[in-house]
Amino acid sequence: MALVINVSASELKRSDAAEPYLIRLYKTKDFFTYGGKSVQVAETGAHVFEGGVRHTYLLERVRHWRFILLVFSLVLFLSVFLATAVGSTYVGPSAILNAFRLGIYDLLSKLGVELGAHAGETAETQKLIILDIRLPRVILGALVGAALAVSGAALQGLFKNPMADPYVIGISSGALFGVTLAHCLPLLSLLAAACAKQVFAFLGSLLAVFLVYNIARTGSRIPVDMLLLAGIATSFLFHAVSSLILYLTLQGDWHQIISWVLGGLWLASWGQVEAAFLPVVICTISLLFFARDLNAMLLGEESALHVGIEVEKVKKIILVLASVAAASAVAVSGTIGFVGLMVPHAVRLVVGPDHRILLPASALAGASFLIWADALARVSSLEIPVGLITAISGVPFFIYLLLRRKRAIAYA
Amino acid sequence: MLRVEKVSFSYGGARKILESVSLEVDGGKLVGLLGPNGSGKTTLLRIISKVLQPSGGVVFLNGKKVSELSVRELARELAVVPQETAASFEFTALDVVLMGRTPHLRRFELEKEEDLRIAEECMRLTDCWHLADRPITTLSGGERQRVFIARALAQEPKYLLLDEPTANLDLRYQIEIMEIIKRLAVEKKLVVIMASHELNLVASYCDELVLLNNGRIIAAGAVREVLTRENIRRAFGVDVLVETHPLTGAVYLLPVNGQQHTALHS
Repeated sequence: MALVINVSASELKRSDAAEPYLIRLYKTKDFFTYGGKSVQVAETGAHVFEGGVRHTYLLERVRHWRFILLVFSLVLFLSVFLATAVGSTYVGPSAILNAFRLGIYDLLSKLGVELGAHAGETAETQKLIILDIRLPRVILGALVGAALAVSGAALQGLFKNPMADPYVIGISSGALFGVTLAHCLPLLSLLAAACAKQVFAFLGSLLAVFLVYNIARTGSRIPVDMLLLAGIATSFLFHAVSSLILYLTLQGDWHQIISWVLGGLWLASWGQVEAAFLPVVICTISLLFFARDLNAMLLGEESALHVGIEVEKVKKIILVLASVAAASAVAVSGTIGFVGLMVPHAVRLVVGPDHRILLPASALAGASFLIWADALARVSSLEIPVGLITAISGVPFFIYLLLRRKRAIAYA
Repeated sequence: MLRVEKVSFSYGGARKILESVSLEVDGGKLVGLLGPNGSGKTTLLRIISKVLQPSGGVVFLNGKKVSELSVRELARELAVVPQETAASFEFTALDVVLMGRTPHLRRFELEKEEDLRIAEECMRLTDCWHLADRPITTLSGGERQRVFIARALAQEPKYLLLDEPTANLDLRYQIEIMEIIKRLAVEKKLVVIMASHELNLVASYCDELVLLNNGRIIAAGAVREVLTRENIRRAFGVDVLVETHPLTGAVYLLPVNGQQHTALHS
């Protein structure tokens, strides 16, 4: 929407004449918002971007980013709170608050501060449901969602390709392969006890990324079609091998097998939250370090080199960070697909392509998204694997992207 | 001052892309790099900008070896306007130009008022400030080229390399871009090297020319000395008439096509 002011072209050319108009408009605060309105001169129809505007551009942008982060954080906070109400038995908001209150009392009493009367039996049961069963699951969902989304956002930027995602390009199934090995092979289980599943998941994901990267690389470029094909092939391979190992060693424990392969949060516990927390948070923050580099690389790798970015080094670091983030998600939830594809896309529509806001906003949005996808999975008494829900919503989205790309190619 | 000393390059094979290329360019000079396809123009620019490592020889920027500068240090000295500018994500033109400030900013540092002032100045200089809030994907070829020149300038370089900056532009934009580049070289005392196929355009704007063929310099110096009938025949294998522009006094070339050529000599 453009605001029209009546200034003659000759007046505008003398910027001292134009400035008062623009500054006056700026002062009405109706003048300029980042990426939004622009001022139009009625007579010439030319866009004007002058005077007072300049001084507000950066400020507006920072304000805008802060606002986005605030809203996204608020949504996440509310999601955590509300999603704990969802489950096979409904627990109302007041009971949730009560449970949180009791939980805090428990914490305080551990510290030697006695507060409040002893709770009744119903309140104790509800506290148990909320704090020990649902809350860890919701928080684990948030961590997994954030990890997958931030990983997807970084990969899309890195490959300059909106169809990249840890699931699509095989990182997730590589991690699954690692987890499976750690979990099922008797020789490795000793090691696994010491190193934890996370480490094996990292190794698996790095193996997958190494394979895909080298299969897809054509000269110094990574063409989109090669990346997707190599990713799908690698993904199939690791999925199949993992399923085979699980099938042979778990002796028909279908619930367990499905939860790994399709991706679910059944096994959530505070221990799992602890295991996932540090790697996810560290990777997300580390990726933020490279936000500006990713921006520059979107305009081409050589072009990024010209503005002083050590592209080859940065590329490898981002690949490793994105893999570790996705792997630590897979280690606690199995392979949940398409979160890393859809979330950054949707977020980009809202916040624009700048990675400095896109990465944190994607992490927050991914967390909220997976919380609600899992709430949907829990609310049916059947306990649908959440990976199925994300796949059912994600695949049509993927096809939509393909069709758009097809149109772009057809018209090119 | 930019000095290229006996630079050679090959992709490992026997064929040399560049062979012992040497040149020297002073500040304030606009130098045109000419030569047929595959003569090594782009390779030379990529070696100067450290994208490629030469297999022999050295490039000096103001006495310092390019190979000993970090990528970041180099980016504060030297900027490049690439031949093709990818633009698939919707950054605004101003965002793109602000990216040119990258080598001057620390990792988490946000652009400051000063950076914006520089971006504005560069965009005014290249006549694209009015496009500032437009997504880069919606700009025409000429507009986008100007935005990328502004981005290069925002790096505050002393050296500017351009790879066929006027390719795919219509005549008006070609002249516009050349006017801008010329002005930059003079006003900002930049060393400007541009690779180009537009011989007539280059002839009327450049101070000096370098003519490459098969990876070797076959002529270098003032426009009139380089653009001779003999040199053009050697480099491009075509016959031209070398004339003087009646109004500007610049050299211009008129191709003589096959039939006319026969007619001329029979």
